[in-house]
Amino acid sequence: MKLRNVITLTLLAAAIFSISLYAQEELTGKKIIENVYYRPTGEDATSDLTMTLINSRGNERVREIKQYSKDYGKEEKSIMFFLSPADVRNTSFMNWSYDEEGRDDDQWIYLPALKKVKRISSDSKSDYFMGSDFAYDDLGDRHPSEDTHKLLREETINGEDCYVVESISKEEDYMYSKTVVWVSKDKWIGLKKEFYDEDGDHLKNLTVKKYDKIDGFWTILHSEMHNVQKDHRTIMKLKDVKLNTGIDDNMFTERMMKRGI
Amino acid sequence: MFDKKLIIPLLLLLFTVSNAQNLFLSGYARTYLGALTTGDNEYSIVQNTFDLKFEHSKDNVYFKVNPFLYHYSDKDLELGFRQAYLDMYFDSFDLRIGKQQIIWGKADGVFITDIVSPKDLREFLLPDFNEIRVGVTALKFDYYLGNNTFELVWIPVFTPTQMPDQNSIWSLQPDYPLPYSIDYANTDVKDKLATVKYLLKYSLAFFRNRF
Repeated sequence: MKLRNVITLTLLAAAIFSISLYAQEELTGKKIIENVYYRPTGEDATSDLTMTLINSRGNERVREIKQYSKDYGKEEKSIMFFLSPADVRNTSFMNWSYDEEGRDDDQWIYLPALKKVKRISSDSKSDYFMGSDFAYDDLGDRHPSEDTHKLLREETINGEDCYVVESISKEEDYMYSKTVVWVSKDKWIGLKKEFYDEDGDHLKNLTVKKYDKIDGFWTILHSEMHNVQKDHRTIMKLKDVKLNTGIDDNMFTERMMKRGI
Repeated sequence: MFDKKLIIPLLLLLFTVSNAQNLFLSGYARTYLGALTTGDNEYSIVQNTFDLKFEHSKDNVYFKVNPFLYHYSDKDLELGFRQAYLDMYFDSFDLRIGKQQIIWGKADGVFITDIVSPKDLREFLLPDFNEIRVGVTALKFDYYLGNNTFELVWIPVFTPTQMPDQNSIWSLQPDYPLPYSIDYANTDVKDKLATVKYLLKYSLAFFRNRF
């Protein structure tokens, strides 16, 4: 082998090595959040969701929901239908999230008492959804470009090695002054998230209690949102999760919201 | 006398109840009392309400029958159907036949473009929207094309808006300078072709937001 070739190869190898080293060193907060955001979740999913609301006195209200979601590559659509109890039956909620930077989610709600599909304005996205501890904004997919992310530290929770990332909104009057998320290093699932209100006080915690690999995709099956200021909890449990069943595109329309399932 | 208009809702109700499988039943009972703080302090409103909803769906067909009952201390028992209809869903269009509340427009609490269903204003705007809106016996056809929706409504039977009785607390006392009289002789609307109403609505949903 000619010396020149040896030098070229060595340089090439060094370059590749340094790139990979660079990539490893440069696992920034932004990159971690992007890995979570772009984690493959299957083409589409259907599931039965049980939403349990628990107030500070321990009183429980249980709501049964059927939900569908579909990934269109550049956008993701989801729809949920409330099945019970009777006072919320036939209520439906639809969310369209976009990969495009700077484009907000589109959200709609259908309330059977009004018999109208209402679009949720961006001003109302900090309102709580159906008496739960989730704001409308929490139900969408927040695009990584909307926040500035900072890797704070690495920590182990429940035996899982995690990156702890702090995210601060670029938008000034966003409902949360910051959020801190614990991301599993090998699965790219957010296992815990702390939300801080506009005054910087701790507002709520989202904790993932159970997740499983379904048809090769990590899926969150049980999570809890705890508003620590009001001591109010919302527990979300997923049952009968089915992936890639080929959901019809017509499922994600205002027509279906009014019609129900 | 038995009201002929009740036949179809009753048949639907019978059919729905007989198909007890997948039947969803919900409802409420309510007592509503009101008193005026001036005058003789007697109850101005004493009303008991029962409202039942039967729903049944199978494949692309859906039934809903919603009978109600109002019981007053000083008036006759009022029995009727808020809604009683049959839905049929096809690929690009839906059909709804029967007594139904048809809602147009997006505004809440005000009725600007919401002109299809008559209103029960006997208790002013206090009751729920579901009680203010009176179902019309109609055939509704919705055609969907992308983000466009065409809605054609055919109303063969006239249903009037209900206003408060003259001795109701909700009755407006008209401030006319002279005594007046209203001739009620011609208010009964016959079910004939001239009274049939057709309505057509076109709506386009579009949105694009950037922040």
